[in-house]
Amino acid sequence: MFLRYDDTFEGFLTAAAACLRSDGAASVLRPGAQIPLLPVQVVETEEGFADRLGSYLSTRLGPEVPGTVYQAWLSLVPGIEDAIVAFLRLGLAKRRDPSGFLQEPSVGAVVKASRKVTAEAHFFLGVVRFRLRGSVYLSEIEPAVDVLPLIGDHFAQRFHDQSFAIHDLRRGRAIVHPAEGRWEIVDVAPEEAGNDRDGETVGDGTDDCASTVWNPPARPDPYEAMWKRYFQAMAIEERFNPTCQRSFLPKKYWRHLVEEPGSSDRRVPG
Amino acid sequence: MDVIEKLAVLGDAARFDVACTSSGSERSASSGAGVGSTVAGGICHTWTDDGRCISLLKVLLTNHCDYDCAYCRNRSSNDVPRAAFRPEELAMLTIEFYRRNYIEGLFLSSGVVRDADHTMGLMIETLRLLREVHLFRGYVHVKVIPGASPEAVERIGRLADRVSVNVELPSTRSLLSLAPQKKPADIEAPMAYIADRRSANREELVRYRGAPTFAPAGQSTQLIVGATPDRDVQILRLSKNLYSRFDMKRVFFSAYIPTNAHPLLPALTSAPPLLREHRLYQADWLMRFYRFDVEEIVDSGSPDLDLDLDPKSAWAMRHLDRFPVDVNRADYETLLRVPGIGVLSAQRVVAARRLGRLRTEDLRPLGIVMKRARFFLTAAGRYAAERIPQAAELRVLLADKCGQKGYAPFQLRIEDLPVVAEGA
Ligand code: SF4
Repeated sequence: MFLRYDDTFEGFLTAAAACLRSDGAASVLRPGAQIPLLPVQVVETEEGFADRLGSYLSTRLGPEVPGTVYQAWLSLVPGIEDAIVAFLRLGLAKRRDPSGFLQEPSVGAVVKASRKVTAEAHFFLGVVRFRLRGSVYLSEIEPAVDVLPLIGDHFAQRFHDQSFAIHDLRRGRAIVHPAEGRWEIVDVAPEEAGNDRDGETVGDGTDDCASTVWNPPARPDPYEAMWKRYFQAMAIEERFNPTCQRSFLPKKYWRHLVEEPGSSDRRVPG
Repeated sequence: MDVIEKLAVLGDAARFDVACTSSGSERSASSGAGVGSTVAGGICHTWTDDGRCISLLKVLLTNHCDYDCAYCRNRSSNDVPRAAFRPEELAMLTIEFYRRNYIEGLFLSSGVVRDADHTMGLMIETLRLLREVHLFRGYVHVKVIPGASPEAVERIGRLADRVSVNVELPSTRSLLSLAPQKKPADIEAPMAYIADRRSANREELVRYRGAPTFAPAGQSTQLIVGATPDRDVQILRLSKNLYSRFDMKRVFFSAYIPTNAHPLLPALTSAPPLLREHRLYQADWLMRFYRFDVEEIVDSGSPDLDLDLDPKSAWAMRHLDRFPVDVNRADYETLLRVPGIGVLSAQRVVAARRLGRLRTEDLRPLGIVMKRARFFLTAAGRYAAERIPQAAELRVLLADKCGQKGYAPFQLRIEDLPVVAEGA
């Protein structure tokens, strides 16, 4: 049997729980997945179920388990849903966090997927670049997976006195954090995002964070030039190593950085 | 001179410094005023065009220097562009970079202007502005100038997360001949002060959580490798000594890159001993995380590390009688000594065994590097390699790529580039 859910984590957990209650022949499908020729049952998402299941798993299997499952689910790896169900089934049978049983293929898949997501999130803790627009700090990112839910707390803690937004261009969503306020993730409609450069406002206009958003700067930010210059000064020309640099900082992420990787050979002699 | 020009000169002058790890203390900023937090794991913000991680704004306050250390580019007798930040300039630069998420914090060092305490005073003022005026709560690492007074060290320790006093030259003889203005006591006294204050501070913090901290991320130091004839055994014994006497968090090694011609230093054309530095880091790792003692790694009989083999494989080659071990029975300590098994994979073996007996094919998913480990393991009654190789053959099989390439990017990932120290 196949269970289809509504693309929310909550929906997935509802479907996963249904699988766990059954004898194991079920398989969980994401909405975009190929429709099999076998009967598909659409699972109705239970509100608040994620929290209840989360605390159950956390007390039964260990505090790390809900996080591991959530991160693995975020990875979008094909078939990860079934791997998560098998992972939880093993954990419930052994009454402990199954993450240590890496010799089991499902555990390996879940742990690997969750590590991929946390690595991407950790990477973005570093490479988010805020550009100052008025009194708001804005960042645009294009991560491979949805990292916003995982990085919001870090930035809100670190910059709690700043109004900032981190806009995931690929997914049309943004973290919005008003100074001294709470962060949330909002949808940024493509039309609004498309208007970025025209100085349109985002949100309803009352939000502190949205009022000046996306306005082009009146004059260039001097600190951006300083950062670029510092970045160039730090490279040791005899050792230029683009391969090594790209293994840590893949080229696809350069677009939104301020420092222009690869620019050190153009530097003005100090 | 503009701030941007100063930044270019003083960033350039600081770039050869190691010890860029920004980890070791954790401070959240969720409560109270101010900006910033520190993260235990360390965060890279970008990678330079030579592939090194930039985490901290690493600069010298000034590269003017009254001292004339033979190995240093900023020594007084060299003709190099000089610049100096005013404390408020650097404090401002740090906070503005931080707010844009360019950096984790500041790594501040300096040439010696007038004397140690005068220079320390300028560094203290920079940090004071940063902490008290800009309410900065991010990470700060400061290099203490040798010869700094206890009062200056006290003030800097209250403002910084990590402090370091660099040993630089691994023996007193080398120090006296190459850094004539620095006395061994100038280095040891601040180190001892920091160690004492740290242990007192730990007690204060147990009694009262809100007590002011003193260098909560501890102290570290740096040794230059290859500038002097000192052997690996001396370097490793010294670093062991430093860890235990001064409660060091890290001892960094830095392969010497010739910058000045000097009769006692390697020729300007000689290559920096990067592979040797890499092996020293591996040995240091074995001592700190794998429960090895220096004398198991090198001794007076064989005073230098084997450049072709990582030190754990080299140790295993000398103790073949202890292998192979049964991966299902061996205790954690024994697993740690198997080439190809790291701390994490040893822990995973212990966890995975709970599910049942491990077979040889189960080992790779646990993160064990089978290329090396297979010669040292049995699992479920089977030897993990096809056959037992002869010792000479094994030596070749264990040699890592670093040895062949002559250069290892290993610690570039962990703590930035291994070159000579500038600044104090
Ligand atoms: S090592 Fe430090 S004290 Fe010695 S010359 Fe260089 S900057 Fe000056």
